[in-house]
Amino acid sequence: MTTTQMGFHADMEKCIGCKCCEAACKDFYRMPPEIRWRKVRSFEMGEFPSALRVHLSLACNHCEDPACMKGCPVEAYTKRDKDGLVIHDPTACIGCQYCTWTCPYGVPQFDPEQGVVSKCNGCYQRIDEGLMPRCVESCLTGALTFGDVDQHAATQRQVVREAPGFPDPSITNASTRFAWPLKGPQPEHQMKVAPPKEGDHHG
Amino acid sequence: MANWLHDAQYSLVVFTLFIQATVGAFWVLLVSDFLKRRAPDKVQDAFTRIGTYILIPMTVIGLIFSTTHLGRPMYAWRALKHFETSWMSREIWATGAFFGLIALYTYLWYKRMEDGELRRLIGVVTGLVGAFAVLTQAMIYTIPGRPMWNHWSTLVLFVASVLILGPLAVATAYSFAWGRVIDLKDGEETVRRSHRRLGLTLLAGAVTYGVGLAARVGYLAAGAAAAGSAPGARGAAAVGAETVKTALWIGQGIMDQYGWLLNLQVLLGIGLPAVLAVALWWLHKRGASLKLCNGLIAAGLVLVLVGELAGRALFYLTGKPWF
Repeated sequence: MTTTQMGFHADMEKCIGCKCCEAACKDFYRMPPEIRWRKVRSFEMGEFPSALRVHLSLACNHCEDPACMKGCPVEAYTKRDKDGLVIHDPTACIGCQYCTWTCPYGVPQFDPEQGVVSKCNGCYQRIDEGLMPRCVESCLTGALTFGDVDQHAATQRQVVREAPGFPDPSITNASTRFAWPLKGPQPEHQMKVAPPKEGDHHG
Repeated sequence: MANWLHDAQYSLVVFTLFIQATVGAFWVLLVSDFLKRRAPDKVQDAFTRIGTYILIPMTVIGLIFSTTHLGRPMYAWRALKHFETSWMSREIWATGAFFGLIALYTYLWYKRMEDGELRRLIGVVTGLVGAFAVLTQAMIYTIPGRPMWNHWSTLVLFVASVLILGPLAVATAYSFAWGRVIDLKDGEETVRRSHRRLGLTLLAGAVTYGVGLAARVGYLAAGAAAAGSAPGARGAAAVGAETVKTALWIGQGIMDQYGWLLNLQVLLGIGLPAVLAVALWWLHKRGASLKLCNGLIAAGLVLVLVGELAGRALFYLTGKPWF
């Protein structure tokens, strides 16, 4: 039984889309070029003349009810009791790629070279040493933070479960929380926005 | 390997279709086994025995292809570990058990033919395990992570493949046996009777397939239309549960892109079995040559398989990553 659920908080007002988080993660874990555990998606929000350019930094959502773990036929996934982080063990993985289908958020990624899937493990070794995940540590603007999901409300301007384009978090009880841009449409209005395109800088 | 074939998960296309065809073939043979229980028929027995020849090779082909999409196929056995919550693990258990049971059923036909009650008992268990294997295959794809597949039509389409491919495979085996292993004159009535039953099963399969495909096409189209009706860009409306519409819009786009696969699916996967059923009925009514009917059935199997392969490839293609 998980006692505390840790998770990321992404503030879309503060994020400038620099992708330092992506680069820091890739560098720290020495990933092959095509694998990115953290991805920054960019998109437009609102309508002319008050349209906004918004960036959304996402990695594993360390769900309370992880679909990847449920569906994995080889038990390569575990969820830590002490902080709720969902860990993938590549040595147990047989590369069936089923988790890349069951995860609604497109988090697990298959590496054809290694023949296995991999994903963000929340830098659990660093967490155990009292450090922050590399992506959080590298964020220039403080847009990306990490901590007890129940404590985000005390430290963040806004704590929302949904983000534009982000699949329904209630499917798996995703632990990532968001703050929407101050001037754009607010989540309570359920505004229709264009779907985010990963790596798209030109709308 | 062409990119689209890779994206279409050709390994899983062959795996799922061959296992479904084997389950259908087994059901046909088991029904034959039961039908002559009260009225012994040695000729029918001979045909049914020969029909069992196709079960193991078809399952072996399916099982081989089930491993070729794995990154580490040598560790495929590990997939048995998570029966409690993983439909994929359950699928491997069910398919493995089905393989073992059809081997036992076939053995009983050849080595203990006189023990019909035991064979039929094993047969019923095998038929149920086969049905469970098809259910597990459908449940694997009925997941919120891929809204394009997360619909009841997935199960209906898989069952339709069982109803169409299995009986056609058995009928083709009968065609080859007739005149080669079984005397032409002795076997004629049995073959004619099997054709009448084949026609009915093909019609049922074609109707099932038609219902499943129409539901699936409608499901994707409705989602795409809902996404497109939002103000602003097509595919907008993307917060929370609304994002499913974006996924369906993507699936609809792929359906449009690969329209030729959909055409093959409709013409050869649905139309041809229905036409074949009517043609068999008409030819037998006019007392046409059995060789002509057998030739049509063998050619029909090949063409219907092409249609089913096209349809299953399209199924996988539409389940594209959407976020």
